[in-house]
Amino acid sequence: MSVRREVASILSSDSTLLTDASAIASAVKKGSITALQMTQQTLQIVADLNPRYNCFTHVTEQRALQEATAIDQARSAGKVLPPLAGVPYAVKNLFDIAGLTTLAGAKINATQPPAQQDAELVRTMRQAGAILLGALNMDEYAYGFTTENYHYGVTRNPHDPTRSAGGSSGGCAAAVAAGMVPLSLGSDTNGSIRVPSSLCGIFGLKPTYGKLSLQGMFPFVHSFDHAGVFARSMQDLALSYQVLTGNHDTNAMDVSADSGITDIRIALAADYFEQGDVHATAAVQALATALGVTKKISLPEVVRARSAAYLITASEGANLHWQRLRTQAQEFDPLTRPRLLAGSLLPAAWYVQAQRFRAWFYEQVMQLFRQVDILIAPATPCSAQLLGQDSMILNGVSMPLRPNMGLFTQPISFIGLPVVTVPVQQQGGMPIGVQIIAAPHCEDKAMRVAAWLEAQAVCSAPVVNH
Amino acid sequence: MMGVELSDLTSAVASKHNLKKISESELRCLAEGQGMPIAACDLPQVLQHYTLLAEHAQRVLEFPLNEAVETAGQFRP
Repeated sequence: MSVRREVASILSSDSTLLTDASAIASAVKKGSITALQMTQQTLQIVADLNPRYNCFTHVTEQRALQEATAIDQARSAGKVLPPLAGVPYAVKNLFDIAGLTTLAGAKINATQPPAQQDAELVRTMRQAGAILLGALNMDEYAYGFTTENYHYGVTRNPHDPTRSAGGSSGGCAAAVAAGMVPLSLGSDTNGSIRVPSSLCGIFGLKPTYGKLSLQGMFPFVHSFDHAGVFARSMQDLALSYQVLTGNHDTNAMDVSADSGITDIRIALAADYFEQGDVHATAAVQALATALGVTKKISLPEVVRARSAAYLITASEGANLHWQRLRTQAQEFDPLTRPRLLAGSLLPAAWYVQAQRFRAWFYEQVMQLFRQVDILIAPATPCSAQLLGQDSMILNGVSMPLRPNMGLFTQPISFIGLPVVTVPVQQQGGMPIGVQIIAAPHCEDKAMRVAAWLEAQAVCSAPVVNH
Repeated sequence: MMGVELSDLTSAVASKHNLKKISESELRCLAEGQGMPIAACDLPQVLQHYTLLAEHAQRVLEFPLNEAVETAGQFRP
């Protein structure tokens, strides 16, 4: 029997094996499949599907085969295997991968020398036994919500390839939604994990600001940059988050359905967060009904918070690229260049006031978290729109599409709150996500609510039929 | 592309801080003064984004923050 046929036979006996990280790790530990077989099969799937969706900008085949062989050798030697043994994953191409140039979605970066070592989170994943499959497409320098990259092409939504996968971590979300990998690591500054999670219909975690190391990741906006995870299930999201925090997180990630959520006070984010279209509204309502939540809370001055987030993003983002803008402006993506150039000219007073407003807004929202533990809000104002689309209509008003996909995510990352985005599948339509927002360092509560919703089948991330 | 965005959002803004709208030539002078060359073909779009940012700035600047509020520059929630 050929290796491919043998693997196909193993996989057909367990349909979760290609899409479920926990099941893969368990099967590799038991020896029902080797890490090498799993990796070879996954590489084949990536080769088959990537031309359709353009998720990967580089496939690290040799490295993946070496890492898988090392896992199998460890098992043969009787060693205890780590928690993600043999689990394939990939990272947004702003993570350093030893031997590869860190593109961060930019043509300018392609001339830089290869990274000397892996980013810290990639090293952590390797120690946990995960197998790195490659680097994933993104908006240039993470400045976008659609992954329509001028240099490396658009990433397509696996649910409908004519539509956007979201961004800036579009390759991460699409690769997981397509079933190419069960896990991916991305970054979120203004919504870059939550927006693509929503549009691709998968689970995404943006932890508290500062919770996960950013070492070895190409920055965008130091004040807001977060690392995070994409997965198809809450079990996988919790497992990978526990690995990434070094298993030292005192908030144990018990996301089993029987852990219950009766001790968690939940409210719906009102007013500003009720501007979404009928699909966004229906998704929030589905969660509210399942949870029995009617309480609504208004966050103060949210519009101003988003404005302040814009100013800080523009100013810090432009400052990072100051020299490149002076000497290589024409080599930037046309969607990125004018925004960075405009940001480079902002007066300091605007930036400082925005940072002072941020401190004020944080204190106001912390007072709200005395009344509730979780806030529920839509992740995006609508589901995935057509690639190349410039505007959308929301509540009868036409507005620019690209910046407004972050309408509901920007005010939340502005103050570093942890968020799990959960996918709501719509009959005959595109999926859409909802944010489960917690107070700082209370990822466990957001994850428990998300897992409970998954257990009730309100939220799910089924494999896309290709 | 992004110039109409703020008018699409909520909250009418009181005009305590009416930031002056700048022209393309003023923007070019501002950029030159800061050593940031902007190609002529980019000026219209850069101006559009700068104008949008100015609208955001107006919204933030007019908020009556207590003078004791410090920046969140070293933000660690």
